[in-house]
Amino acid sequence: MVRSAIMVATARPAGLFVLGLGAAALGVAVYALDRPVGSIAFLPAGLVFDSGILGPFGGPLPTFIHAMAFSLMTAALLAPTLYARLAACGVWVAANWLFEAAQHPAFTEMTGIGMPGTFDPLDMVAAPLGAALAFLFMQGVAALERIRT
Amino acid sequence: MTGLFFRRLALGVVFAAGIASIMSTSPPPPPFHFRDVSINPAWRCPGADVEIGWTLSRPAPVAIAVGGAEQVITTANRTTLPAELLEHNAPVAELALRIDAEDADVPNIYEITTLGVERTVEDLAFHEKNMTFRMNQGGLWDARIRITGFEVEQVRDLACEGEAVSPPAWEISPPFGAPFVLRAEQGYSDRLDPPLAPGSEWRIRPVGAKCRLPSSGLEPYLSIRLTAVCRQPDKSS
Repeated sequence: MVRSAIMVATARPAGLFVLGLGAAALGVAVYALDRPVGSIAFLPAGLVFDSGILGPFGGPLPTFIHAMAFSLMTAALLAPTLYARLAACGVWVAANWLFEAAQHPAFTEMTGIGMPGTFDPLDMVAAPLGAALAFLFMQGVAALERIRT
Repeated sequence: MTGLFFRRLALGVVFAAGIASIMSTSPPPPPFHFRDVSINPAWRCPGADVEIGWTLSRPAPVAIAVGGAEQVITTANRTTLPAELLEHNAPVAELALRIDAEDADVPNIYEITTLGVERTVEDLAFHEKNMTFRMNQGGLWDARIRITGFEVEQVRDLACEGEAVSPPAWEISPPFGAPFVLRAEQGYSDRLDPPLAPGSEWRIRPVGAKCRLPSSGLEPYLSIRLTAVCRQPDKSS
């Protein structure tokens, strides 16, 4: 099933992937602009401005962008079907939810595993919203392709 | 088939990058947090006031408590703690800086040490290949403080001649003044006469035997203790 989906996708344009890469770059830019040094492991201190300019949006925005960016990049590598698009979005919502839920004190109590960070319900909302926007982009690109052919 | 392989590989890379990017980020700090705090001096002599300065992520009042008792709430970005207050809480006054706002970070806690009598000012333990160490990097020293004693307490992960961990003596090069030597027969400790001004970078090197890094590749581990006292103020004639 996955194999055939991937094979069908070989003819897929790179547009979605480039869009996803752009969104990921935007996510890094949010960290550089808004967060203090050390908030993201691979970003050098000289590129971090810690402006706090995004205010309350600065918290959930990276999760929103993450779910969107990686849904787009994943969908670009799968077959151009509705099922594949939904699966790509679902996987990244689930991943973001899982890591966010792992920061909840109840998770640590149940499993004994502590994840760094603080559970934020806004992140639980931001992930599906980001994936939903990605899905709209995917549907838009798919519609354009149908028109072209 | 090659196309399929590369597409599967790309999927794996995207998935790994996605998970790694979640794991490499840390949560946002509270909207109000301290960007930096300066305490001058953090090691003080009796009679000296202490200047506290700070910058915040966004403007807010800051409450300052010494020894658990709140002293002042100010919207300025600096304040002076009078000598009498610190002497009342000597030798170690706990200083708490709290941002007086909702969603603020937990208070920042510092210590201000008064050197009324001679005492240990540094208890350092460090791994360092270049055998250098820095004195209390975050601390600022009262100009009257002088280092009076130096002891190399413990050494590990160093291989000296005769299968010893420590050499017969250590030569210490302070940032100011001439080097001095601590010998094994004196327990690698000595009083410094004349006492030395504190400073940032000190160097330590083994003398009397060749020492090298052990085959384990670990960096040498040293623990060092320094004592200090306040010099008497200059008397004006």
